[in-house]
Amino acid sequence: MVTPIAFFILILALWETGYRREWWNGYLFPGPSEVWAALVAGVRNGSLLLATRISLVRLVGAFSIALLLGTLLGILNGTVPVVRWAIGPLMLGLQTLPSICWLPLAIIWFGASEQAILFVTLMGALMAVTIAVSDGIRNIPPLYLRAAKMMGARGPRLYREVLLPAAFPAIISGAKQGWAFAWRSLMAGELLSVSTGALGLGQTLMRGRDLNDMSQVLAVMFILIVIGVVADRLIFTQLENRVRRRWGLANP
Amino acid sequence: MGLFLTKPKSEEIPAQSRYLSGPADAPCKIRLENVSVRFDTRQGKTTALENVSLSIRAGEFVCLVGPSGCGKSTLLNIIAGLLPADEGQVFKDGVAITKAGPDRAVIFQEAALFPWLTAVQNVEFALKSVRDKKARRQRALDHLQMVHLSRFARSYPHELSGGMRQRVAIARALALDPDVLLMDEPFAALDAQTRDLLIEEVQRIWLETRKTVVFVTHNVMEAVTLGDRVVCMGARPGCIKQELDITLERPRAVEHPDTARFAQRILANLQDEIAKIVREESDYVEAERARGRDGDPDRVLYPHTGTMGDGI
Repeated sequence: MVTPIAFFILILALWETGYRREWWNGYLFPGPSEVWAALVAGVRNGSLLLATRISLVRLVGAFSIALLLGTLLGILNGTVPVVRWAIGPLMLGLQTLPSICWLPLAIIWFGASEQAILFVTLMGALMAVTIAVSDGIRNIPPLYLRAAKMMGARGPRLYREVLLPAAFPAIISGAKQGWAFAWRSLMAGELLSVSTGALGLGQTLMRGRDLNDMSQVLAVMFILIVIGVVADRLIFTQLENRVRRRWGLANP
Repeated sequence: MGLFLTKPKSEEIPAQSRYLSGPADAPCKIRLENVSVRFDTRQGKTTALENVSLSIRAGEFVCLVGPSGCGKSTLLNIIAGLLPADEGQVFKDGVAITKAGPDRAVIFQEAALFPWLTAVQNVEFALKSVRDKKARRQRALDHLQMVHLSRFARSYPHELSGGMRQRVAIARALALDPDVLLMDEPFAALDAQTRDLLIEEVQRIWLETRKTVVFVTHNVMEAVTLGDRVVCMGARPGCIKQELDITLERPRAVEHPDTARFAQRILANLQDEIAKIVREESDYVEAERARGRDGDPDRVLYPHTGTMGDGI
């Protein structure tokens, strides 16, 4: 724990020293003190907090839809062979497609609007969730299914009480991945549609570039990193660990 | 179920006859008629069961023993309805068995408990028909008490030992209140002490509940200690070689001289079967060698494990 912190401080010190001694053009790459000042100013005047809120609302909205749709699609794909044969390869193809490639279509369909950004974000997460859920269901040990059948569980009850809980660890991993994909897609979407709707973090980042305010660009990047780490460590990894402990999968 | 209810409850039976073996005149509960099962393997079609017929009386404890690959687990899975027969028919109370159901509870070699549920929740899963949640919890706890696991009701399966897990599985199966209890090598993965303990426990529970039990094992002592009748199976193709009524009083102790005497009679027969398998397998290895391929050790030692192991 001490070593990474010491290393981190060293990097910051070097960065600040380089900036002060003008080892490089300071305006292209401001030092940490400048970035911090920009961050504090942005938080004080509320613009950064507002942008963060706007982005997070978009993210949570699109991600929730992706989670719901992806779980449904994943269950269908995992349990109905015909569906798997038909759309399985298609899903893999869509998963490899960078979601930002949906933006031109989205703009034609929805106009340069809020919906276009949401759509791109949704498409970024959807396939990751779908594939994880479907894999999770297909990897359920056959023994569980035989036990369930033996106890007379079928129909909706089989899905609700056996298939979904059995696939739950995979679903959480899928959600974690889906969240990461959604986050990237949202930023790509916001960066490429600066003029669209409310100012999210991506648009704020781009505006910083337009104003040649590299401190603001770096400050926004800092927020993006913090949100990414917090979501991953505090939400998804915690959830994952809890499930793993309950199932007895965690290393002691 | 009806048939089962008409049988006397254990406390109504006079003290002496209580320890006698299963009823000789009870109606037929399970009937297999000329059942054959074939599997596709890499070596082509393999006959797992060939023309097997067997009748099991209500309240009887029948043990199936035989060398691995003789189709005893297959037979059990057919009665469970988890596997269809290619030829022949299986009846329960005269009605053809077509699919799995809670009237035929299965206890698998591995406990097959759901890892996301606690012990008591696992038992509750079998009690879906009880609508009232409190009543359901109470029934589940009662069943856990029957296998002496009340203290571990709130433990998750991974927190329990192998023997405890298997006991939860037994409690879960009993909670279904099945007509027939099907046990597929339930103690094969346990250590000897735990196994002996569970043999005694199963015997006690059977004396209390008098369920019809089909118990698959490769352990002859286990079969002789538990069964009213031991059905000895042979392999390639799977068939019934010998049936032996175990006319010993209950409860029986594991490794008792009397049980050992019965075990000897079965072992003698089983030895021939095992010798036959070993001979066939060495022939197989020779044949493979002659063809110049002895690479895959799994295939040489257990040419059929792909489909004929103790699962399905």
